[in-house]
Amino acid sequence: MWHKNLIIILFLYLFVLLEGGFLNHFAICGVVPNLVLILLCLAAFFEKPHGYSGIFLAVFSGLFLDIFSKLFFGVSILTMVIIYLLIRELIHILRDTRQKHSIFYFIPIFILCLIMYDFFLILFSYLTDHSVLLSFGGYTLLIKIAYNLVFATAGFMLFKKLPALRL
Amino acid sequence: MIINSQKKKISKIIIAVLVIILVLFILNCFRSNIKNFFYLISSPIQKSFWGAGNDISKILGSDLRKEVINLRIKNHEISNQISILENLEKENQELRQALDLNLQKDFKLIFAGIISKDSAANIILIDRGSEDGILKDMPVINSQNVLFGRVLEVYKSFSRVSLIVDKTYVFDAKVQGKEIYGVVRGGGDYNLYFDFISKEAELKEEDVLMTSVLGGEFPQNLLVGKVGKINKEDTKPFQSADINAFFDLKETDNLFVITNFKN
Repeated sequence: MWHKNLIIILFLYLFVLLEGGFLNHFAICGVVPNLVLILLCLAAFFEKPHGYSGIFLAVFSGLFLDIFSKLFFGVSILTMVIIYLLIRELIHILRDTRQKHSIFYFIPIFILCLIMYDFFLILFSYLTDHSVLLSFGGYTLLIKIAYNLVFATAGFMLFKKLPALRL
Repeated sequence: MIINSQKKKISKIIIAVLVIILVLFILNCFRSNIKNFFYLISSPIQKSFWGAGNDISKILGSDLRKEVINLRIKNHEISNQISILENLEKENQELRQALDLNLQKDFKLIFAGIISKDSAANIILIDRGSEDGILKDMPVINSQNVLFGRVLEVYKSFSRVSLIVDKTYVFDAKVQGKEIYGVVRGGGDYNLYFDFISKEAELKEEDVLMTSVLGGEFPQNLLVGKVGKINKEDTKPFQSADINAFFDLKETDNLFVITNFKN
């Protein structure tokens, strides 16, 4: 199990670097796909019922995001843990009894997570640091949702076809 | 029995929360060093990612030919402007001497490479830090004198630069070649606005904006952007306009930090 966690951590690190570097050249109105959040959402969505082992993924993804941003340590960690717990709770409510992973459940959950991620990140960063003001909502939110959905849907297909990727 | 197990569970949760708070506190105490360490080990990969992204985005640009033609036309326009500006500079120098203003003709610059951009905020990371002489609030420009922003946070070998589109930015600017002054403010999400312009001012779309000496936030005559849509309403005491910022991260690999400007 530890080697799987290590691979996931390496992927998170790589994704954070990709987001900050490579993908910025393909930004649409400054919007870059949030690969780390997509990975967390997919991992949480496909995780076994009543399992919470993905919490480590939330902590590490938040940690990497904090390292590679101006934010204080803890801001992204807290945001990612909240997002993870939110997905787990929503899955308990929404998922059907046959444990079929439907994309029609995933898409609204993912959109909600994306909005909540922005909201909590702005809230926590505002509470801890006033030197940078992040924006929430507006047309960029729509672009963000559309752009991220493309990657999230591709990731969903991958996770569905390859059960080995799941936690 | 059940109460005991519940108490144990609650105490475990409290201990876990306290440990997390303690760890975060320690991490934040050494925030600068930890981040500098991670940037140091990641910068070769990040730089190659930034460079690869830049190259691929250029190749994928479908309007590349059109862009070249447009640039050639612009090049001619700029050449004409340069000759006009050379004459103006002579006049300007004489006026400066006459006014006895101790303005610096040239900047002391430190060359810096872009490593990454913060995906959540309008902040970039550059590969120069306190050991290179970088200090907080130093202005950052590119080789074409285009204003990018100012240094926000300094680590040992790296610095964070906030871009002028950030909502925290408010600085004075003027229109090139005209006596029109106003305030530039960042709107977040790559939006930039020109505000508090006199209603009588004959502002036009495509007018070029430059930093002005009035606010003292930045050195004067740094290029900011071009005037976009102008908003002029009878009910408002001033006119305002959108700005199409000149800075373009997609096309930029290197920047310069002005080290000898005091605001």
